[in-house]
Amino acid sequence: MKKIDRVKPRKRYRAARYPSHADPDPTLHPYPVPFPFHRELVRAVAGVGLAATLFGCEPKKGSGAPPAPRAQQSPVPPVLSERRELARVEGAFPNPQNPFVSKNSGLPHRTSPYGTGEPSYLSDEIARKLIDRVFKTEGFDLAPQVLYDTDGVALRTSAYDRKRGIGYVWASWPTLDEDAIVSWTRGDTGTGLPEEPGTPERIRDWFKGRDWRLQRLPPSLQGEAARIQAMPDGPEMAVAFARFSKAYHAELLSMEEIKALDEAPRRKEFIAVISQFDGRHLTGYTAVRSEAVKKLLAELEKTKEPDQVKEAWRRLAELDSREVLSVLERNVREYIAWARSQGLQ
Amino acid sequence: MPATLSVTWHLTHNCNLRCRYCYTGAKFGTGMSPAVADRAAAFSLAEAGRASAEHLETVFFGGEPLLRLDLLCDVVDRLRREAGGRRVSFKTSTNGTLLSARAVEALRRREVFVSISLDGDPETQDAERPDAAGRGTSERLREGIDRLLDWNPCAAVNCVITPRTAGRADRSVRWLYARGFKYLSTALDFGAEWTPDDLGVLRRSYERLADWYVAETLRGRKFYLSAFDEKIRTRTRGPLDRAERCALGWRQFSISPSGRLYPCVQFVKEDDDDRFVIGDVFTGFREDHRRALSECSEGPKPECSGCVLQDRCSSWCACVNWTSTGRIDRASPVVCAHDQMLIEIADRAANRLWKRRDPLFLHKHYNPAFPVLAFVEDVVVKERTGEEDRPS
Repeated sequence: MKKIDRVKPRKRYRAARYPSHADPDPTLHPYPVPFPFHRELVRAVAGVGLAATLFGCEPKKGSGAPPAPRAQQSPVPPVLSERRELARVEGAFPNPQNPFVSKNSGLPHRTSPYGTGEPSYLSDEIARKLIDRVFKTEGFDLAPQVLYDTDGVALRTSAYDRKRGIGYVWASWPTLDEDAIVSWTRGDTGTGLPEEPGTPERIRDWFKGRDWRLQRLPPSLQGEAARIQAMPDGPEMAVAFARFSKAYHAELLSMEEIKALDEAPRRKEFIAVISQFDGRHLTGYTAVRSEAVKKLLAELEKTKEPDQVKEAWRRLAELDSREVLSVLERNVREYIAWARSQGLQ
Repeated sequence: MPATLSVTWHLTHNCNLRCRYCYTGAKFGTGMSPAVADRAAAFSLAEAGRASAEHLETVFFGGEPLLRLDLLCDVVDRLRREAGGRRVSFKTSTNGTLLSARAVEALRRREVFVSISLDGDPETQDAERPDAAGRGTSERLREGIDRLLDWNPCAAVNCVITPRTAGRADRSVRWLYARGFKYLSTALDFGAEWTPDDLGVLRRSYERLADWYVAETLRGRKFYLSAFDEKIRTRTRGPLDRAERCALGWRQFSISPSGRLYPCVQFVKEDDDDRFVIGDVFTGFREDHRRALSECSEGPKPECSGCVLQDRCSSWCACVNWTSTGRIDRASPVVCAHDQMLIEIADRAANRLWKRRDPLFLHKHYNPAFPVLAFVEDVVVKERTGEEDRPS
């Protein structure tokens, strides 16, 4: 009787044709594939006129975590595994639009006097990592923290490719100027930058309310801020502060500049303002992207299995974060495709 | 440091069945004593703490673990009480003959996940898994299976394929699926003497099964079939990395009825093979021996050198290698031949589904949200209709 007594290494194998872990996600590329919901759920959704939304909904959509205190929210996990390499996707956007026009940015963002823990924001670090990777995959050589100063728009980009004229600003708390983050604690009105202080007492007050911002400035500006605060009262302080203020605002992105950047493509320069406060980048109970899943979750809450409900909420909250990163990735790719269609070098 | 530490308790050597391929050795009445169980519980918790494991998974095994149902319940209750902040979970694998209403209620209340070992249709079940008197068991399993699936529609079934049953493996799986199981796990009897002819017969079974797998997926049926889904996963998500494997004796170990420690379930047998004893619950691990076994099994396998499928096969599994070859550091020729065949058949099935861009196939294998969305959908559908998504 013949036996199987030897390991026989396979030297050649005709590769499988379905996508591997190294390929772009086929549920998203080259076009989104809707989740195949059960017909009973379709009926439930159709009952309130949402069937079209159900079939049109993008994959990996989810929303609605139970409110959680912001401090306890776990960091957003990267949606892409470490082993996966991003690949350039040709032809994914036959008619690309600019997804980052200022009206989509969610700015100005107005802080509120109370917190409910919702929505959650993408962390600066993870969002920028993802955006940098997409640009790199698409063939751009972005340098970090490049100062852009053209035609009245002066800001520190998050990353910019001078040679090709494309880059982005990740607009979040540290990078936005004070008319883009309207603070109720300062009594801001959101109608422009607050008036600059003129007296020594008000200059010192100005610095006090902005400790967290100052920590994020370049070291030279931090040093200048400390020097000014240590100065004796007098006209020299006001002069130094005026100089400092100009440099300070040049580091930050104001609403006026955000709107002006909408026009930059006319000069064949492309700076995407990608906002942490963009509704598409929010996670949590109020950040709804899919009416179908919201309906699903409302139905779930009526079930009599509290443990299952609790577990489902927990998992959906975790996965919701991943889905937001998928949306961000797609939008960045579309921005690049749009920039190319507008004459990017 | 492992995220999960898995500890398997062999509550007894005894069993009321005499499955023809059973690897757990002779059946005799000695079970774990309360004193050993008491010590084993303390040992498990201490070891989870030492390893900084976030999650302690406890698996009850045997013999037939439900022969010691009361001890099982006591252990669960105690570990839950003393777990502190650590997450604990419980599983057991049973032959299904002792799933009385009382047993199901006791397990359900304690949230013990139950998987059942069945080999397929009544003819196969009766031939391969008779009781101690040699009688068929398919008939007496009916009620137990119904109770299990009523409690947990997601219960898993484990089906062993032997050279005798290779020709009807597809029929067995389809029977189990029609019975209501959606999580179907198949495994070869690697201790058997497989011949090339046997694998040829199995190949044809797998090919018929692949046709069924494709057809059911295209019909929109959600189910998991380990034979194909695991191999497809090695492509769509990449091979299992070291952190996901058992690591022989590190991320998992077994406690025999006498309290001795083994690196995996397959080594326990009659609890008399000192070569694989890595300690006991009274004196702790023999760390040198534990490390040596793990390093031996994890070492490179020169016989696999140059193989383009090495990342997708099961040659890393030490206990399967040992069962098949008598060595833990050598890849099994039977595993090699079997896996090469299976990878090819699984890939062809996946190619067919990919060609049609089937949404269920795409989301099942590429959407990390799939398990959650499927789970939530099942809960809502059942609530609305009172029915599960069972095949007609």
